[in-house]
Amino acid sequence: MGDKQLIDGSKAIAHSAALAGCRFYASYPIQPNSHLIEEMTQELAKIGGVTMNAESEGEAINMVWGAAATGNRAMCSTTVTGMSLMHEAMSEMFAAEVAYVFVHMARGQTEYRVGTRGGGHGEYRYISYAPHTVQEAADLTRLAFYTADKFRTPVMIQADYILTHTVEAMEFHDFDESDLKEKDWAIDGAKGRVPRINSFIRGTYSLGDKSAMAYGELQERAMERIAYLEENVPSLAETGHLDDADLVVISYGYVSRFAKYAVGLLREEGMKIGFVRPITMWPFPKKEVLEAAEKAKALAVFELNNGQMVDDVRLTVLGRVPVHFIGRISQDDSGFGMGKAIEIPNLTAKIRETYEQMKVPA
Amino acid sequence: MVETATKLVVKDYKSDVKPTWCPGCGDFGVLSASLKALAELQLKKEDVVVVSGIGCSGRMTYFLTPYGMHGLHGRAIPLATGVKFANPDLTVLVMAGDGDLFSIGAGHLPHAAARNVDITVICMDNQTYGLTKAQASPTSKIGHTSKSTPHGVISEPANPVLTALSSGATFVARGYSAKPPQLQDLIVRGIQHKGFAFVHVQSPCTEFHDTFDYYNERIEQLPDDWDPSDREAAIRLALTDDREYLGLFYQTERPVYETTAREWAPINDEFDVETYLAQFA
Repeated sequence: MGDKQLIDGSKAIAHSAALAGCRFYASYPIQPNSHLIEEMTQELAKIGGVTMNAESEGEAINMVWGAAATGNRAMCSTTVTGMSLMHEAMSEMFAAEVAYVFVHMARGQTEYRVGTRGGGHGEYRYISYAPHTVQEAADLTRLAFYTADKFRTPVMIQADYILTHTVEAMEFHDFDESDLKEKDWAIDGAKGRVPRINSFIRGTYSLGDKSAMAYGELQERAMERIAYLEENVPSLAETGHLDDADLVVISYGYVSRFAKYAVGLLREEGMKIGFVRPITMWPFPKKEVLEAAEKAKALAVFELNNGQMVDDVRLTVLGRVPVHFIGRISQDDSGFGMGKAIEIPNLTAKIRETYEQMKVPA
Repeated sequence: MVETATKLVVKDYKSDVKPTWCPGCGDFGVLSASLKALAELQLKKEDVVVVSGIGCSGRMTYFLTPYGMHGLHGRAIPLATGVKFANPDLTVLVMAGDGDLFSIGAGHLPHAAARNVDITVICMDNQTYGLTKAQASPTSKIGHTSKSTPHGVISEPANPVLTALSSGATFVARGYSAKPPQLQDLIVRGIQHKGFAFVHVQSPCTEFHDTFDYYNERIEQLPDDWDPSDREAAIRLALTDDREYLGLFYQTERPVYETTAREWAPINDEFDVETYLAQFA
């Protein structure tokens, strides 16, 4: 640790998972997730863990449920359509109060909503992190395993096609997780404990406590947990130039690097533009966004979809300032969701247009 | 907790949750045989995990005292695989129905069998969906009428024993819930078997599809001189549909996935610029 290395986002996540003591990982090939499978195969072999190239997405996520319910650190990953297939189990794994890490290797950013609200049934949320560099991918992976165990809940990392394959200088850091408690809920066969069942009906419980929850009761419990997580999981965001900005650009993940660069170029021209980069997508960094809304005349949300995070921004500022959506679905020939919208001339023009319109008196 | 220097008995494995099955349900026989099998093997409760899915069979987890997992419909085998891969020292039992294992979960069994993951799968087959009140299941025989198939089933029934044999299961047996001593013996041997063990159990549903008489007429024990190492003969026997054979069809030895996977040495994947460039020299 501590040595600078030149590696890509998948390797950074895989090695961090191994450093976090991930014992089990399962996935099903799909691009750009496949590269992470290859890296996990290498990394877990080094620490005596098991990687499964499963028979289907459904099998992969259920295997992870099995491994995680026994108290082992476990990870699953997929891309876009694969996540739709996994949501049956992912919905229930929240209800079953299973701690695990899920990596979504996105194509563009069309899964913001799914990555924060879930895409399955019942009430549930993921704690969701969106790294924008290889370094942050490594750091947030460690944080994800820690947070999952601390709150005994699923944690998602929203990475993407560019981050998967981009090689950058980074270093692995030590991570202090000494405050984590023993997993006294795990069905790990510990001698001298009351036998337990891990069930989607009511999490992990001992046999003496036999009443299954009614569905309504289960959903109420989920809502309580969601409220608790929203209150207690630290939300993270990076901000810049909020002190003088008239317009604040909000963007997340790797894409935010392009937005931040465009903001820098426009500032050199004298435009008063700032930025907010949510690092936790859920719980949403409301404090930073509200701070931006207090001083700026308008906010502009740039994301590679038809407007998903913009909902959270609008729900946060509640009409205090206009919130413009300046993103769009943007494909190149590869189909991996990283098209012309992120090219600097296009992005700069879009922000400039929003800035200039804002300056025109109504 | 009591130290288990003393001999464990059936009631040590039996929880005080009362089964909600209908009177006469074949699953009572499977539960009883499983409890006796665990006692016979003197397995410590903390070393056993029972995994179930959805259906009448899915309740099984609650009636046994070892650790348990109650998962989604069809997904008991992947759950059990995850448990076993992460904790190879545990004894892992899957107790599921024909709906769980041969309809929605049908994609999982062949792969778990092919990998030879060391779990024991007990299939409680009643040829009907009991919990949802009597729709046809994948093992329902042709002509079987139900509210969802009023004209009778017209698709070929799934053949659990054949599927297990053809997928590479290393222990394949069939029991009958009305013959608990034999079933107990098959479950014991399935658990003792190192590898993927599949025990198919005819476990009739007295409420919606009572097949006790049907099976009582057709049940036949495997011949005394049956050779369980002959896979081809086992497959031929599995294809017989006029008789319902009971016993150990097939058993073989093959490396267990989770053991092999843990023995793999890491492959050196470090990228070395010099080595890479040397190929162009």
